[in-house]
Amino acid sequence: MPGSAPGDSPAGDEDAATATCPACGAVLRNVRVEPGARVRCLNCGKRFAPEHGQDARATDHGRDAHATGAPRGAGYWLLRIPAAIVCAAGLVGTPLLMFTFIGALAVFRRGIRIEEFAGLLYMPLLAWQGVVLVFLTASLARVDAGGVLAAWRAGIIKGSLPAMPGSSLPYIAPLAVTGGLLPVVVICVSENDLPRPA
Amino acid sequence: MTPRCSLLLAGVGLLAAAATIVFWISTFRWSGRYGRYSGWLPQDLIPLFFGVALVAVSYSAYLLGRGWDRAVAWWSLAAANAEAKARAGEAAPAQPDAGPGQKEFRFSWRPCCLFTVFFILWIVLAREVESYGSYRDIYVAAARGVMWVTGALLLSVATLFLMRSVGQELKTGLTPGMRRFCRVPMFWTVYGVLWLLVMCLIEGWPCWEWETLGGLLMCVAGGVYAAWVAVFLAQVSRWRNAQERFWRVSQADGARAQAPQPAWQHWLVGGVMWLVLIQACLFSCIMFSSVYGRLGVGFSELTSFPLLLVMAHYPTLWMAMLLREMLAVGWFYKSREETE
Repeated sequence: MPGSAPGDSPAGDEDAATATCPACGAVLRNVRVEPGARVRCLNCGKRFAPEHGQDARATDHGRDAHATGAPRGAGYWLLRIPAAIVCAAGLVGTPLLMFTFIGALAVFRRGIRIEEFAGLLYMPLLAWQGVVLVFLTASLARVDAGGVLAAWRAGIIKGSLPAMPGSSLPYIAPLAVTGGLLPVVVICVSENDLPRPA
Repeated sequence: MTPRCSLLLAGVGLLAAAATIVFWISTFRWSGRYGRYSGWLPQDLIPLFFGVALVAVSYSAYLLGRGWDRAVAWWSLAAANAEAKARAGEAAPAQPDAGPGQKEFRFSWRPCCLFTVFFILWIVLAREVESYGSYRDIYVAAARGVMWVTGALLLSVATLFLMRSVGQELKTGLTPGMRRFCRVPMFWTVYGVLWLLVMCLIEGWPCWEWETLGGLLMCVAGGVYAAWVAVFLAQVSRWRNAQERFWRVSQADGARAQAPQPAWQHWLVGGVMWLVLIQACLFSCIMFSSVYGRLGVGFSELTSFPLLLVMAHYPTLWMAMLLREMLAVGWFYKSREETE
């Protein structure tokens, strides 16, 4: 939310940290502080700075204490998951396609002509395009998360960026319509041999 | 303020839809492919599907271009402010139009309007020519010649204006290599239109049919798609440069050493470029030894070869360059996190 503290991220309790008071040993839960700031122990009242490594959850994620409560990127999973599916389909389908192509050539001819070899050379691009989609979407997510994190560390933003207002439908619908119509068209094309009405 | 380039793409979507409907009508009503009208069949909807697909792609490209234009403007402004702050401490913040690379795509509507007016006149003239065609052969031949040359010239002039706008857009905020790469679609479009013009002069424009109109609309759409491709890659490159500039100059965060990109990222891009090079060589061999060898190499085939070569291989190179830019900016942030 704009203007909120770094700990007030939408993740809520997931970003909460624990800190142990060096004076009385009391464990404080849900500690949310600015990086480098000190907290007051609720048991003995002593002020102390949470030490590095006290936040078990942050340690588990391999981050330092400054990362506690840091805003995170959107993840772009709406793009990354379809890209991963396309990539997996390409990586599996391309060798099968090439194998089928070579097998068909082996059945009908003894050698391979230059036209067929060139066609074979274009097939890996199918798998490569899936790989490109995966890396493009992953880069987008990394740029988003890295940019937000760097801006938070530099003090430019105080918390997670607000969600975009409005619906995502106008962004998704065009591609969804095309993707949904594609099987219909394939079925229609496969029915080309049907006799036409008189 | 909506960038005109994105609006142009939205227009192309409508253009593609119009072309599809024209093709569809020609298939159903005027070409007589099935003789009399014999009812609907599922496969009759296939052209409409391609129209919908073209509109969807155009609309997605419009949204993508609009979003990236805004991102480039934002990061360029942030980088310009950071640079001003680093130079003069209390210097005044940069104005929204002061950052390099955030200049809006300046497309002049005047040649388009001119083109549209003359195009409509051309269609009217074509109809008149067809109506007189039954009894005035000399008049028909002369009028058709004028029609061919006028239409091709107008198409080429409009395209040259469009490509000049794209060329101006590519002048700032890009490395020389990226600028040259982004200009390839521009040259391709100009060459394609000039090729059409020469073919019209030599062989004559096809007879007036709905398919001709649809084909011409498709050519215009192809040219504008090429312009979008050139501008979009340039915007992504500017977006990356502006971000890196901002974080390096920003005093709040300080400059950090960036680790070199891993080798596999270079190979992912460079390997595909080598593959495309081999493909292009084989493609050339096939075209000249097999296709042209059987059909014969004429002037039109020979001059259309560069068009086909670029059309078949540039999209892969474009995707590779796009991936290169995205991997670079992604690695920039990742290496910053690792050096924390």
